[in-house]
Amino acid sequence: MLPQATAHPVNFSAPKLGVGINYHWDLHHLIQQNLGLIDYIEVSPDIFCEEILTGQERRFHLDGKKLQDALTLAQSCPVIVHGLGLSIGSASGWNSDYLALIDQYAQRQSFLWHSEHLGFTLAKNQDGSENHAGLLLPMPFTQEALDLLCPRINHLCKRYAVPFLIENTTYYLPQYSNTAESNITVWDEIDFLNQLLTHTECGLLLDLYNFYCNAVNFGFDPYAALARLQLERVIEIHVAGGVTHEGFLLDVHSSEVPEPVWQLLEWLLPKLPNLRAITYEVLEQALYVMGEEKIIAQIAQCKSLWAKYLHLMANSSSRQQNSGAQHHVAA
Amino acid sequence: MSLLDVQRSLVGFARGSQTEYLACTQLSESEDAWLKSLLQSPGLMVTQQIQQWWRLSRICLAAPMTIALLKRDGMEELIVEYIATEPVRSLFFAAELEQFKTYLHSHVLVNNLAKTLVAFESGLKNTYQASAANSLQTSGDATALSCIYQLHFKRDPIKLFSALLSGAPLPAEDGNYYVTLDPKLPQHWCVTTQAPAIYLAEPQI
Repeated sequence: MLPQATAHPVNFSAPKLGVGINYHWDLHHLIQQNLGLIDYIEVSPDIFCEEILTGQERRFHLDGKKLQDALTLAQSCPVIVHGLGLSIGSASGWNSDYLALIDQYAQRQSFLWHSEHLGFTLAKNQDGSENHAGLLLPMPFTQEALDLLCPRINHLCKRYAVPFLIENTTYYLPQYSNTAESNITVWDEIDFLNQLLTHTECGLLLDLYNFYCNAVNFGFDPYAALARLQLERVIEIHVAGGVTHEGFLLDVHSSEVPEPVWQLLEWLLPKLPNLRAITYEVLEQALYVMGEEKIIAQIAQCKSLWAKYLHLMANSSSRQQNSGAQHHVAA
Repeated sequence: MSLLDVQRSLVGFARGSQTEYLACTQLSESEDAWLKSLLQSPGLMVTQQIQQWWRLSRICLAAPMTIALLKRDGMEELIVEYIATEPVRSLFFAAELEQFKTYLHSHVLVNNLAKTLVAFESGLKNTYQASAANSLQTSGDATALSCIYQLHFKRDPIKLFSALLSGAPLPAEDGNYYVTLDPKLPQHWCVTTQAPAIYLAEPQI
């Protein structure tokens, strides 16, 4: 059981980056041609990694050519890291090979912060062998999950001397909920995120599209829910688009951002004093479906909202300074 | 119920298995009711399908010609069977391809052409990796990744690959063709005559 804690003050020195996109070599040309619009790239080092299984032996290596292309591009814009394969919530141990991979990447590329999904992808069997789900599964929002995650998150906050963010995810299975006969603590998603933020030093990567999917799929009001979140801890926002399948809105990153998510973003931005970046996430395969123009249009829309946001923040800051000066004069 | 039990059950459910769930003996009434409700939930089917899509997309990207051949031969059910029966050992392309190759090579219904093709695509991936590792020495494991493969086709490989990728009719069997995969080659592979094939097949001293 974690000790009682109060909310950590935000101590985040990274600059306000602007608007970026996830990196993939298929998107390399698009990014290179639009560096005036794209302020940074979000790199998942997992994509450069190849795993070779020989019997029970496993080896990793980074694809040198693909990595080199990304390193070259990164000479023209800042980099942030977004991990896919850590399985931070696995009760049987996270993926330490993934940390070794990030260590390798960090030796070659500096980055302003790194992040990982709140979830797990594997559970070890009783004989120690790995059982992969094949996709990211959600954590139950319980005290036990919180106790497991907090030390791991705090370790990640210190490991690379840059901040660490945790990202909310999409889920399609109903969450475990408390019943009268159960004596374990269970929160909803927002309260669980707040608990994580309260007990650790990490920031929040708020994936608005994921959150919107959960709101649609499980029928809750995203505005009311977000109003309960520790919004001063939101450092980065993800927006994306997806598809509806079997009545579920899926997190696929395959299309344009739906209008309700743009509305949610516009509503939310003035409430995020420490926001540093908005990332449009798109699957590389979507390049051939959407085309470059539509992808650029999505980034341009983010950029337009970002400009409004900066303006708002500047006004708010000058109002505070004026107010402070008036108090000073009055005193 | 421990978090580990929950996660084992959820991973099993995502893979279409209840074995892990049934092995849990310490479930409270509410925990058991929750896990049972997941089995009935429409979200479980979607979760399973997403897992299958990711896996299918990894195989299709890693072995496009083998997949094309299996489809031409009406053997798509082998792909489905692979995804349904073989555990997910890894989330990486090369490892998935290696596992898929092993599966096809051990399957009695798979013909020699499909076995050779999947060996070609898997070998190509390995030679590319060896080349990439050698060029930047990112892993320090370049020597271990060095690999040379020799494969035998009964159809012209260039025409065969072109037909599989374009959907054109396959060329007829008309002789013996040898393909060498080597990280030192410009495209990591070439069609060779039988002579270097025999030479390359000799054990290195």
